[in-house]
Amino acid sequence: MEGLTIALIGAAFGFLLAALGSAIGTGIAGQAGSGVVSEDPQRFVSMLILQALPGTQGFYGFVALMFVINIVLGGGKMPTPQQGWQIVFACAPIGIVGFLSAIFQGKVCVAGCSQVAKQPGTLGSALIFAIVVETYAVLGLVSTLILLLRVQQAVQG
Amino acid sequence: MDDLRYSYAVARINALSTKLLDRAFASRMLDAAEPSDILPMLRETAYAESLTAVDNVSQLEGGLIRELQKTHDLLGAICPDKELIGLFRKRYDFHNLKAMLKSKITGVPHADAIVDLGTYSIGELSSAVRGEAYRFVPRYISETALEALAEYRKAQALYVISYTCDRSMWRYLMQNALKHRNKIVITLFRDYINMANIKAFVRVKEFSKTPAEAFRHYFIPGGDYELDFFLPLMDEDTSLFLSRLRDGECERHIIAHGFGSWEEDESFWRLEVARDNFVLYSFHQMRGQLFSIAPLIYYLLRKEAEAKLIRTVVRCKLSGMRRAETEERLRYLYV
Repeated sequence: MEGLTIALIGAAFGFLLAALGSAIGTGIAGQAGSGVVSEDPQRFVSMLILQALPGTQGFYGFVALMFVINIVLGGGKMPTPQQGWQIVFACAPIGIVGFLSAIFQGKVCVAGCSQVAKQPGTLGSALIFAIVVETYAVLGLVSTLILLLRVQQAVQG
Repeated sequence: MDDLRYSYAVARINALSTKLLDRAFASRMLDAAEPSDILPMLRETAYAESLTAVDNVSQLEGGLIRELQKTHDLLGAICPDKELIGLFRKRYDFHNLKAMLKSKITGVPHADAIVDLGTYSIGELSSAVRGEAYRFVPRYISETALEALAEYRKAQALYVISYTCDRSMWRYLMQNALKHRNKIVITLFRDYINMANIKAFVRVKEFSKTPAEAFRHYFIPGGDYELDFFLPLMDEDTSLFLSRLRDGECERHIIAHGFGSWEEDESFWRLEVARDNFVLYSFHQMRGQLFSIAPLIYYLLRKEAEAKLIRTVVRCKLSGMRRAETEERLRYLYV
């Protein structure tokens, strides 16, 4: 298999996993938000904020995907198969961490929805609990970008 | 394992739980000078809609039933395991069947004993019982009715109807809980069966001339204690028997509170209060399990406890009971 193909498969899976995690996370948080809004429509904005949080991992995966496209198609040189595999492994942090953290963040947001439903003044603390999970998704993205920068230097020579 | 299907239902119920009656409200009801003063208080709460057709305290029961109907309807609509949550409603089918069978045998009208919360139409059930035509009623009802009538014809005693219907109900509920493999519901039903068996054991031991024979009829299978556990203890002193049960958390709590004053009045009401309190407390602890049926059951139990609370306060006020005595009979409200 060519280096370009391997690299694109890696980028695609990195994005796919992170986006899938986000879809699950926002899905369950959205269901919880909808449950709360059914009884208390005034909580809509709080619920929307809590639902949106697990969606960031999908964006991180998309950033990594664009970065890989820039590496493999942005310069004149194509990656070797070895460099293609390096890109696959570089995309793993955001793919795997993004997938898992989005689901767990979704669960934290579901708990946050219930918390805000019972005590409307506690949106801030509910957000902080969810943002702690976000930290690891950010670390996953940063790791992926650092690794891709090293691969980019090797590819562009 | 988290069941993500419960996200919507649990969040909605948590939003609704802010409207549950709390201790402060219970205290206000207890302070009311007259039973009729309780109605305006209830109209300030989530009960307002259910009490629109209620003009005086004598009609309060209808309002409480309507509120419970609303709760069951909502839970039935939003719970992902509809059949499982529906089991809590089917308890009333068995209760109504029992009341109608007794009424048919004795000829005493059953109107007061019927609770319109079951899954099967009261009218259809009533005509089936009247005509002994069970062909078109659900199987769990027809089998129970035929079994109860057969047992009654043999024994010619009315209590046979009660224990046959109760045994049949727990057998049906437990079988269905096991079919769904839901540990929360299985444990809840098992605790109820344990308490029913302990209560039956103490009752036959204290009041029956042939306790062992009577207990064989009353015993409900499916709990933690088998028939073989109870029968050898029939000749022991009741307090010794109770001490033997104190292994599990459930039994320890309920026995301590439910039979603590047994020798004073030999009454079971404390046991029932202790059982309800323990179940409420257990589900209060589980209400944080956001991806399970536990918060939904907790909400249902709270609504049922509220109805009992309101009923108890009103009845105690009508009978002129002192506040301290009334408080002792109240179900503890966890908020």
